[in-house]
Amino acid sequence: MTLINILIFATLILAYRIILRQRGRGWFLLGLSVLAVFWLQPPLPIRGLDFWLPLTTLGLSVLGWTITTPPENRAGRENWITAALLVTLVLLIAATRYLSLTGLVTPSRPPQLLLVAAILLVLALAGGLLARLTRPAAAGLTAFLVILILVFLALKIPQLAEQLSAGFRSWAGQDVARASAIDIRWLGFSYVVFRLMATLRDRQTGRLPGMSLRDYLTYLIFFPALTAGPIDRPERFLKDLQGDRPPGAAEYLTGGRRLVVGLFKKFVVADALALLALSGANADQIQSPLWLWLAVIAYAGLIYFDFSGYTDIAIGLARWLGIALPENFNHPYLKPNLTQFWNNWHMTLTQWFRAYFFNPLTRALRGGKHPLGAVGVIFITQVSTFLMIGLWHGGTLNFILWGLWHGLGLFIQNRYSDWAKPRLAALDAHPRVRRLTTVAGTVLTFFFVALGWVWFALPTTGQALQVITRLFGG
Amino acid sequence: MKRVLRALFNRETLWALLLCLIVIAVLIFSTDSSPLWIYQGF
Repeated sequence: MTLINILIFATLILAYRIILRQRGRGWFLLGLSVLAVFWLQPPLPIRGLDFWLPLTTLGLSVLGWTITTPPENRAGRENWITAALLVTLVLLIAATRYLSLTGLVTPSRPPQLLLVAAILLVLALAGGLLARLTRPAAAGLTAFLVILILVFLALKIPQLAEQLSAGFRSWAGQDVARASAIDIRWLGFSYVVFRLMATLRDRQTGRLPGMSLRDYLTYLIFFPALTAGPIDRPERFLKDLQGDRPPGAAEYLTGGRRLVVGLFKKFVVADALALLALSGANADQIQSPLWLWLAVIAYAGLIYFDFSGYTDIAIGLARWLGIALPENFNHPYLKPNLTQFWNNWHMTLTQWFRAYFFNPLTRALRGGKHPLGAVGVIFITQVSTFLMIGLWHGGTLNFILWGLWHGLGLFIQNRYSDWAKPRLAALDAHPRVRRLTTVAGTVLTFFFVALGWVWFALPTTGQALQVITRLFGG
Repeated sequence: MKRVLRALFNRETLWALLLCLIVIAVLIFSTDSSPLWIYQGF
């Protein structure tokens, strides 16, 4: 989101509140979220793709709802109105091609209206048939999950993404030789897919609350949280969405405060830190280890202020709409150990992995005929969870190494704290020494995390290794 | 406290806030060139 995007969203929310107060909130949220899916998508070099990818986001979302909803709840007036609204909005967005040569709502001029209408017709027919003929079966849910994971991998692994780009280019009649992994930047895909997977898993385990098509879509593509989270839980989001009390003065104040804090964090602090933070471009130019450390620490500050600023803005805007999005950060750099750091950094992502990966894996390893020992289970679950979190960021060696860095770090810290707990208990009688160990732990944790960001910030493993060596005078 | 807040955030203040936002938007419309959000790339 740019500053303009944020201000326009804030303006529209306030205008809605002034004119309609609370009337038609569900429709307002869905309509604006659908527009946001197209509007926030960055322009892409492949012709038409910046229109087709947002449309695919909507298609996958509708498919997710069809698969997770029992047939008796699929009909109903509200669902039909939602489907009609979706089709109308997409057609209207496509029709803006006659108003502008560069695209009004979309990043570039939308494709031919007739082509869009024909594709919508095919999708509607397929969706209608699916809704009529199928039930939410375990096999269907699993198949959809597998497809989502495969698409996710195809987009995240640069070599596969390049192949995909080449395919799209030849389809669009463009030069295949210029295909690149960054051709397919699909806005918000990582977040939407994770919410989608949460609903599929919750359906499998019977925890998913009944949701109308409108509420389900709003949950997946809710515009403040569309591009960078937080990743809410379906049942929590639904509770707020169905609440009909308009926000009071206190909510405007807290929401507004969050918005201002978020804008300050991003556009003042993070953008200033970006000038000196470690990057692929400046890593080779910085000579002295001291300045290199400064660049690494600036990157640690940059990524925190950038991301937590975004979260503040999302939470602030949502608060004005009566939705209390979950927190994503709770002073992570002030925590005395790595476990606590991860309990307070990008919290909604780690909670997602805990609920849908870590806990089931732990249960599987500890149960069954041949249960593993506790230490083995901790090692496998922590390292594999963080490998997955690394992969979520991107399928490159650097993200895998970053995941491994934290997975192993957590395992070592877990073993150490088991060993040290009884010994440190003796320090309770000496509060000053105790405080000193906490401060030392906090500093150590910060530097461990900051060093980890080197893998994260730099494009190649060679460059990251070189920077780490040079940080220690090598 | 609650009464003060309610008096502060009435319809008129929301209008004023809206107007402020529009003015700010107009001011920065041509200078909005911030680096991308890191976490929007994932």
